[in-house]
Amino acid sequence: MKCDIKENYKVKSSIYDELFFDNAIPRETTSLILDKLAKLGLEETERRRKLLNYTQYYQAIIKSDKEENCGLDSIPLFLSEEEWSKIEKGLFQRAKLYDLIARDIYSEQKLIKNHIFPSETVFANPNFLQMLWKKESSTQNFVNLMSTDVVRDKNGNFIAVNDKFQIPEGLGTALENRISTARAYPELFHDLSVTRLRNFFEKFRQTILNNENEGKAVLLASEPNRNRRSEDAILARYLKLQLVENDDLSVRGFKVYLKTLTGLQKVETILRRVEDGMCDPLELRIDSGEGAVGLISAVRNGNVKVINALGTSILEAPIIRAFLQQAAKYFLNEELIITPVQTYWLGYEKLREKVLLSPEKYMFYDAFDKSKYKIYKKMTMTGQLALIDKILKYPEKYTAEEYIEPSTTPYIANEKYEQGEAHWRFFNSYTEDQCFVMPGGYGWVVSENGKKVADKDIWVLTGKNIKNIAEQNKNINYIPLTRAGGDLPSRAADNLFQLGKNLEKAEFFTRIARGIAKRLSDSEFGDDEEQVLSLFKAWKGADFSTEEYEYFLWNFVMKKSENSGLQDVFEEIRFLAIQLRDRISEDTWQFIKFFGEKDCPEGKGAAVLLPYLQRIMSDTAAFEGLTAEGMTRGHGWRFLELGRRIERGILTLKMIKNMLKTKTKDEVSILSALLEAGDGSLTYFRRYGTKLYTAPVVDLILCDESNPHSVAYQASQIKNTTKELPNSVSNTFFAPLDKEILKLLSELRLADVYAILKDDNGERIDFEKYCEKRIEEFENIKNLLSKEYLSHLPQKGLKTAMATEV
Amino acid sequence: MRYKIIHETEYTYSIPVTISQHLIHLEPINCERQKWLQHSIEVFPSPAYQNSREDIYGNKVTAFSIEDEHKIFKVTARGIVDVFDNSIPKKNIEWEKVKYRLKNPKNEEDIKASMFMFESPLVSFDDAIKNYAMESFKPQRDYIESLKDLNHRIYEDFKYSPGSTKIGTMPSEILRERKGVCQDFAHFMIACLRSLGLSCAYISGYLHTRKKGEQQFLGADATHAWVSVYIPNEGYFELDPTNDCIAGEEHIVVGKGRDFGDVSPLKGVITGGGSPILKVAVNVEQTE
Repeated sequence: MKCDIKENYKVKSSIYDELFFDNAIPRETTSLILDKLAKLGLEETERRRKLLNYTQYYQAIIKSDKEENCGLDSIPLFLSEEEWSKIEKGLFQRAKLYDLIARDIYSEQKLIKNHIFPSETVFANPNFLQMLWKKESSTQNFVNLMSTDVVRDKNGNFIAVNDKFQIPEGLGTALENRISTARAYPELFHDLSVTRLRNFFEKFRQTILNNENEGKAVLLASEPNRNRRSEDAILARYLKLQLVENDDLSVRGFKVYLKTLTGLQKVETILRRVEDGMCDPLELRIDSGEGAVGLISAVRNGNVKVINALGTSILEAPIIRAFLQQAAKYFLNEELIITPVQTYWLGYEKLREKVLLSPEKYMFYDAFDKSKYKIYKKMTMTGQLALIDKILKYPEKYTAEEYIEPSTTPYIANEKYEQGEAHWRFFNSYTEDQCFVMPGGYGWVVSENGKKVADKDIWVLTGKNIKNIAEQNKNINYIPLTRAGGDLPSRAADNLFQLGKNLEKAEFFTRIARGIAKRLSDSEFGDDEEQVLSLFKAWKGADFSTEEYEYFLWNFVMKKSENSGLQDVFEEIRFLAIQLRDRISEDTWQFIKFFGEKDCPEGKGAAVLLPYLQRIMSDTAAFEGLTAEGMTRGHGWRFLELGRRIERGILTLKMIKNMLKTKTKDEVSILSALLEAGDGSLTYFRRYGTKLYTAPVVDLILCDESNPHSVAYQASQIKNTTKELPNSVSNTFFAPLDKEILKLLSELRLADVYAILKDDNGERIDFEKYCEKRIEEFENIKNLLSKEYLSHLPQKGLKTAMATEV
Repeated sequence: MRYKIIHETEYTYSIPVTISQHLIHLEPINCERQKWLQHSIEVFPSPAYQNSREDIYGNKVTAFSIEDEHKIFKVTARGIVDVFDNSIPKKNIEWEKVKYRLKNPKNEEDIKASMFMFESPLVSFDDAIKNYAMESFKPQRDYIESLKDLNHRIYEDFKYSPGSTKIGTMPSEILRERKGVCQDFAHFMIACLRSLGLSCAYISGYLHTRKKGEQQFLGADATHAWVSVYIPNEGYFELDPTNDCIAGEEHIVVGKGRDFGDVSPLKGVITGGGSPILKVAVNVEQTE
């Protein structure tokens, strides 16, 4: 983009602009920054801008399900030291106040008894969870981490419009955005002394999760299909917390445990990323089945700390905002430092009349649900009438908030500077009268038509930097070393196992599909129909009517819900990748999350499939390389490996069984197909020359432990890998799992290939039986593994809600 | 009247349950017209852990977990209780005055009653319900009279029909279908009253029905549900729309809440179990 902001950006006179005065003169800080940018030159600025979104780990995470991805804008939002110190104080006050309100609601309810709150605030509020009233552990804070949304009015004053307590979204994104801007503009950070965020996260970790001696802290993640999930993973990684799901937790004896490979591990602190209602099916929403059964009992008994405390959703209801100032007076005898948005509860007749005299000034909220609101002046006439009608009928169900036209800020879209509304979100953590506010935040821009169009980083220019925590920690001189990995949750182990299995499937079938596609598209192979047929056999174990090869191949590769089709395998891989977000390295994640979605073929015929299949082959190879080189040899890696090995063993056995159980006159084409599918051609030709014989091919694919694609190699790898698993039984006797592996391996080592290949009228009965036996042994190993290590997983039985009817 | 009560709930599972967690509201509350002389709860297999608390409505809630594998689960509640008649308020009061008083609470009792004034998870209302209620609540009509009229109309207009509804059938559907069981009628009546800005609670309990020579009450030998209406300065007044009567000596209170969800006698989440067979037996025997 080659234009100057000063020439291209027009400021509206009635609204505050973040960068310019009314007369288009840059504000003080703006000129500082614009000067710095000008020094970089237009081309360099442009290069940096591209870098900005390139370095994004995961873009625009906070988008709701409907919203489009929107990138990070290159011009941040700024706060001067003076502005910041007011916000910092204001946020501290809010955290304290909200904590007091929650404590009161869930115990004495003085606010209601003393008529500060009308009883509707609590008793008509579906977010009030009666089962948490007077919990024994009430000394613990309700509010530990909150976010506050702020806009600037036309006079440049900050107005607080929204506070969140259950899941303060955007915290991880803010961090991401900061990493990006810091990478793109290192000299600006230095010259302008932008305050770093790092200390905030360290402080949060140390004070809130403070658990080094006390036990485990985990991050309870959103469901895997939520957009939020990526942010969960970022936070878990940055806060060094284990990411867990509902099913990983089990409540026994009113204590919360994490189900791991080695058994149950007690959990002390849960940083939750799920809503109140989804936390305990026993007491909250029995129909949903979501949550850890019995969590509320554990909380009530003070055996686990949940952040933020369960029940805090009530603080998010718009009706609370209507009485926030009164509550501040009552509890703190203070005015709110950050001006709150004027909010009226319409259950009061006089206020209702006042509001309805000029409704165009307001936005109307469902008093108990902040996600349901309407901006009156942006509604249609009929919509307005219907709303007024509803309000008059059930006034106590509504609140009205003064609509504040947010300040404007430039953002870049379509290579132009556009003007949009600036929105700010700040985060703070609060504990025992201490408050740490994140010096920065998550900013975003909303365009004229109400859509979120860009993210903004928020820079606090205080001119001083607090010392790095890392430096402060220098005197810690003893940290116990550990190489343990036993706390791998059973679910994660299972997911890794499944991932290994599915990647193997993808590789195996892609290789066959590629072989077929090559032959069908290349005239050089001639019409070697027999080879094509053999490959089809390798894959499906059945013959096809000719002429339809291309059709079948295309369906197999591209059609979804073919059940055993490639696309289903890819989809499963992508799904597992999301669930394993926190266990896969960044590099691996980058391509596995789009596995099978890139370079999709267009058009028809076998030829167009080739590059696509080639891509899959290189992706699986890359994955193998990355895990081989990059993954610690812990239990996670072992289960991934076991998944792969077992699947490869079974698939290879099925293939050779199908292809060779009936002897044909000339087996050359079958053998060559076998070698191709088993990736053994090179070795074979080096050892035996160009002529193909059955026994050597079978030996290579079945029994040769030096061939990494052979069945025997898989078995020996399984043996090596299981040795390292926890609780692996001592040498004195063999556990069922060890026995089964040993049996499989010996059978493969002792196999007399010539003998088992003998045929009776062209039927190789011994060979077929031999293969079937080995398949059975692989299956047994799989079952024993899951029985031994994954049995903490919830059985696929009903979690039933029971209640007696009258 | 003194009663001996046995309330037995038994689940037989087709596959073993490996772990189960339960929440029960079976321990009865004492109120003005009722006094429990003794009460006990027995759980089989015996719980690994259990814990009781008092909820915001005054009920005793017990949470427990069974961590041994089991195929039969049985809860038995036994008790002896003295029950007296509901005293009927003497003073006349217009219903709009009650509504006004609740909007402008004077004392702690009024504020307490506001817990039962609004919509709750199983009780919501709409215009149709409000219109139905208005038929009984004509302007300036006496509160008790209006209540009795509504109680009677529900009895007349709705068909008692076990199995036609399930737990969680909402009042608007009950009004459309005009049938249900005691729980539904209680929920519906509560919805009517709350739609008018009045306060009333859901009562779960037992009903004594087997007196010689008397009419057989519906819901015999089962748990029962009715409503308890707040009257400022007077206290609570209980009505049973299923039987078109004022709840009295025959109505034994166990729990009080906004709706069934707050006082569900027994709930649980089990792992395993298959298709369970449920057997509930209630025995209410008059001893004096």
